[in-house]
Amino acid sequence: MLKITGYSDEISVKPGDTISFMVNCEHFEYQADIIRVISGDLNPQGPGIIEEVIDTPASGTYRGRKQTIHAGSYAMVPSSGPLESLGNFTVQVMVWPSTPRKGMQALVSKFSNADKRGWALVIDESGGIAFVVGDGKGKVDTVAVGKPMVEYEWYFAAASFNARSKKVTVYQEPMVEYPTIDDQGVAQGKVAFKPAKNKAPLMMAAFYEAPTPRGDVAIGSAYFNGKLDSPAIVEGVLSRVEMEMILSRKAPTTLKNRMIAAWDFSIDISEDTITDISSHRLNGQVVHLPTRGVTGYNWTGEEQRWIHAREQYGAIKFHEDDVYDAGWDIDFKLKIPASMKSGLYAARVRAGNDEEYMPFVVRPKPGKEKKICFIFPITSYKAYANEHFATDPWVAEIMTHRNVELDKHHIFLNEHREYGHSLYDRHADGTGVHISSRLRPVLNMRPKIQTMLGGDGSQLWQFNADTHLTVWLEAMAYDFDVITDEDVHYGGTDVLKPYHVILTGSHPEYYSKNMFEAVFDYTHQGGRLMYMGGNGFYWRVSYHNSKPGVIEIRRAEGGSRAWAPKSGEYYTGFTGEYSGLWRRQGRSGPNVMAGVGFSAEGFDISTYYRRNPDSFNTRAEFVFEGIEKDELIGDFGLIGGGAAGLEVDRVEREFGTPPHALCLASSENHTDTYLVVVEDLLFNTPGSGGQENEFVRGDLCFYETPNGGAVFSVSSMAWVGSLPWNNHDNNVSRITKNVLDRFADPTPFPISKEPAPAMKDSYTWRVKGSTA
Amino acid sequence: MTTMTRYQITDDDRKWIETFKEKPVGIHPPELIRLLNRMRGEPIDGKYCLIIDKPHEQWVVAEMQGRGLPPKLLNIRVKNRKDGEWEIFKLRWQRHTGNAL
Repeated sequence: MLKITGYSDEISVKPGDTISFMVNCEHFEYQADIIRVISGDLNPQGPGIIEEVIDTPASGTYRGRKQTIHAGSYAMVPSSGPLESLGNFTVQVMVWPSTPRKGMQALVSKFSNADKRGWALVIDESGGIAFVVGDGKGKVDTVAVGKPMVEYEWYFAAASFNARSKKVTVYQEPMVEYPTIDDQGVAQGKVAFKPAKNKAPLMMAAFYEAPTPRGDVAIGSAYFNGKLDSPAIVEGVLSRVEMEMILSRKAPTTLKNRMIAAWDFSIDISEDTITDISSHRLNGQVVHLPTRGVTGYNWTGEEQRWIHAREQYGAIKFHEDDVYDAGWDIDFKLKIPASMKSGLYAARVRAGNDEEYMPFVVRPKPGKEKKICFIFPITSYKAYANEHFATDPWVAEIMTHRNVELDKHHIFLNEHREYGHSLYDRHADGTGVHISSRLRPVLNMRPKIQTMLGGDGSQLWQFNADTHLTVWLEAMAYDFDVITDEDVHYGGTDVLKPYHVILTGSHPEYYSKNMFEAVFDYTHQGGRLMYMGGNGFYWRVSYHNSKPGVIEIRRAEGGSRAWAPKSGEYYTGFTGEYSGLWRRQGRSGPNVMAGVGFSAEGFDISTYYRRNPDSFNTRAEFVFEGIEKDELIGDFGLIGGGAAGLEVDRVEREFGTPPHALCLASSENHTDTYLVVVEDLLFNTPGSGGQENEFVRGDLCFYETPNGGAVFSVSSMAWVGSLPWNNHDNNVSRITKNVLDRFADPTPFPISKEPAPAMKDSYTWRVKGSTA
Repeated sequence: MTTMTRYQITDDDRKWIETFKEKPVGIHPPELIRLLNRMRGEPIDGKYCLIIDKPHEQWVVAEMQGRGLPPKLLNIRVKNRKDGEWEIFKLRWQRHTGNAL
């Protein structure tokens, strides 16, 4: 099991900036070093581990200490007079439980669980609504309905408390009646004591346990899975009719004046604040980013976008395993020295036989940029952060048609759910994970690790796979910068402008609107793009407006996806953007950006490309310099044994491939594990596998863009895995070098205007060429 | 057992055993794919897998026990993935047919 884990506060820094590292280490002490990451592949057939130790003041021996993650989202309202001096009162909330039977779950609580002090409206062990009081001396008393609720259904939940008689009434009312299901009830009882007064914050979706070590938020317990909507606390023992008035916001003044708090979650959906609309203004915050912009109890289905009907999106969905910021204390820092050139680095921590890496990027000082830049796809790494492909979904092995292999981090993450999930995983309640952050140890964004999706051979995916590109750039002696796509998101085209050519990673799949527009505009303002992977520019994600390092997705409508969002939840809570596939969003999409778009996937073995007629077009001569006419391209490699594999893309005019694009070469002879992507299937028919289907292929693609720009796309995640083959001496390396050298040369591409070619399908493009 | 396929493995499938043993990963005939879909589609609880013991050198066959639980190690070590495929294929054949290979 992993004994050292860690993360950094920043992912991209420039000379003069300071980056902090947070470390959990079970050893007494550890050695920390800053290294430059060049190659992270342990495969003996590959370049091996190559890293360069950088002499910095951060290197040294540090005392180890255990740091833990307190996962689980909740809402928190600071304690205050009105909440501390309740006499007779009523608490109510609409609840949509997703795991009602998991045990005690707090809904609305003014309850310090450590000393059992206060009161709480909860789901108890029966799966039904209950009201709990604690005397502050370790005793609790409960009045419970005692009837389990149905998962994924809305209920009205409430409790009233008479301070003089200590009489409690608890309500549980389903919004939908199922004739044979007994899930409605009103329980009345008398508790043995009044709830003890306390200074604990009011919490929703959790009990309060203690402050976190940093003291800014709380450690909770009894985390709730599901949605809460319209929580309120009102002075007095309310009748059911009065409760309904509070819920519907139609309370007369006399009742309204008794409101202690009524939180309207439809206000500031994109923020982490919650707003109390009572005159007390007991505003609060949500912690660990529960999902907002989700349908409320009153959603009619008529409106799909929360911005258009906020009043129907007054729910927040909480999860026991949400985690935004691990919140650890800082263990050491590094001020980036001026001498540190732009590149891919990591803080390496070692103790005994254990080791951890915390990667980061040093971008160049403004004005000191080189001609070539690798765009470190942190957005896509975040999407896959701490994925559980190997241990959660049973379909994984059918997708790979190879045995599941567990590396150390897989075993650790399966047991340590508090490290959070990826956008491919499901929460403990079975619903899809919409939000992923880098402010936690991301244990699959490391050198040396393997991942089952990465194909036979090196088995690399994302970060470590991309070191096949960095090791090649080093070996070929290119001088290059590294920046992250987060920098592109925040900086736009200005951060790209200095470069003659930018290179993507092997799988730049997740793009925000800012990123998409910046890269596209760059290619139309004279920039050159080398798209070095497969299935890029595919999903539209949102960055949070105010919280750094976190993205949200709703896998709307279709696409190759690990889960589907619920109806009415296709727009992100972070920004209100329509999420899902870029290709469904007007003149956007991978084919528009790079000439090619996701066409097929499989994860067993890779294959080669064969040259198409377009490769003999004079416009593409520079690409194939030194390559024979009949030469198979990339029939070797570290990822599945070939350059075409994992996820592959094709040209398709219908989806936006520029009509003058050249389809230079295409892969063939994929296994039947490779299947056409689901978004291309209108009817599901036999013959969609790699041995038969025309669309199961990757296309090498080149075209010129306005103002001297150009695009070259390899359309395969495995391409970079062939670059280092045979000590970088091979035809994949040759082609890549031909293109990179030409793209780095600012000489404009010769342009001659031709009549527009007739619309053609992807097959014709491959076998007859661009001008067919 | 929850799996994607309802296909039941019978003695008729014996004819694909050698084909699989020779090339466990790669282009396969449709009937062997059907057999493997059944085997590889096991639910996570009890699914056979390989644990990387020494990267690219040694693996241990294990049985997963589900979400949140550690895998159960079996006393089978292999020196390459091809052997790992064969060891797990044998275990699955036994599980599905009741017969040892």
